[in-house]
Amino acid sequence: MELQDSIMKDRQRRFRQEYRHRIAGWYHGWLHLMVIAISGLTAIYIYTSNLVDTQWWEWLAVPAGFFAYQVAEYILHAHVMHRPRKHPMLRALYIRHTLMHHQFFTTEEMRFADHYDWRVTFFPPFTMIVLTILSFVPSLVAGLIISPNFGWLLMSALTGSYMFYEFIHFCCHVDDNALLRNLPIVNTARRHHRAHHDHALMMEVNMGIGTPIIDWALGTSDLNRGLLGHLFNGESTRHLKTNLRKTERTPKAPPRASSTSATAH
Amino acid sequence: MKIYTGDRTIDGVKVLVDGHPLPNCSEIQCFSTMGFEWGYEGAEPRQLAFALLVDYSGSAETARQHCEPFMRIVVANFDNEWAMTSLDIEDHLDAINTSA
Repeated sequence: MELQDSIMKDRQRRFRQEYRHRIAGWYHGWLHLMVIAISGLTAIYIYTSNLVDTQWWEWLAVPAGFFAYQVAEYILHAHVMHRPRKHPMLRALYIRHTLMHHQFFTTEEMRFADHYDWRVTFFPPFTMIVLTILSFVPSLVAGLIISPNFGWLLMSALTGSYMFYEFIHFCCHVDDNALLRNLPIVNTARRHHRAHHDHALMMEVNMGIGTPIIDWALGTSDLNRGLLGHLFNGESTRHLKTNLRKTERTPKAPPRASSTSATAH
Repeated sequence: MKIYTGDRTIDGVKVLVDGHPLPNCSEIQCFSTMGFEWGYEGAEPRQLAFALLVDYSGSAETARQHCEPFMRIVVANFDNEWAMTSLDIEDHLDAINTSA
């Protein structure tokens, strides 16, 4: 099944066809979504059921955990998913992302055709296990040094932030509608991520998906405006930087004054 | 005239010269062991720039001398899939030499 009302180029259409052909027949997008949602919510339920007499300052673990995950996701995205690495697992992330996700979705066509296409966007189901293992040590340390409640809330926030990331990324690849166009944060993320899918920009720009804050802070955003402007930019393209990289199939040399070459064959 | 092409495919990054894989020349000069990439300034585009220039000029010295500006001006600005001829490379090297 493919989108009929699409302006995608033949190359992208062929890639999507080939990708779908290679997907295992048993894949089911709704099942994948349920695994992420149920495992995430169950984990958060277990973590928060350990809270006892929570103090107001212990809730600071929530924004800290949320932001820490988003920073980690930015680093992973910018330095692993868009850069080939030697380690097989890291290289697999690069292949899955740069060579698959970014070929499947381009700035011309960002949409899923159906739930079978969700596989190219959601992290694999075992991600929740990996995240739990990775979250355990910092949360345990925080729990021992600061307070047990802080540790449990940090663990909950890291898990919640991952689920938020998956939700936002999913929203970036669904069909346009009035709700998504007008929902703050979501509409900002959709434009931000669509620009990231521009092949000219994808290796360097708009690496944050859940939030544009890190792109704003590190100067890797395609927007030239402040923090609040970044957060609530929505679909606006009024503040685009004018010095963004422009790629070409064949970059042309500037016209030469005289045609001399000392190195040519 | 040689034709160089690059593409990101479902089976990996493919860089070809006249339809054959372009050697990465890392045994001559190693900027990266991760393979070729493009669209940004960094080690993998630098390795690609070096390999293209070695193949084009046949000279490691020429490739070393021009690889950094060639990477910044050309390889970092390659689109998702790209193609160029040895004449295009010659034009860029002339421009680099002129501006040096």
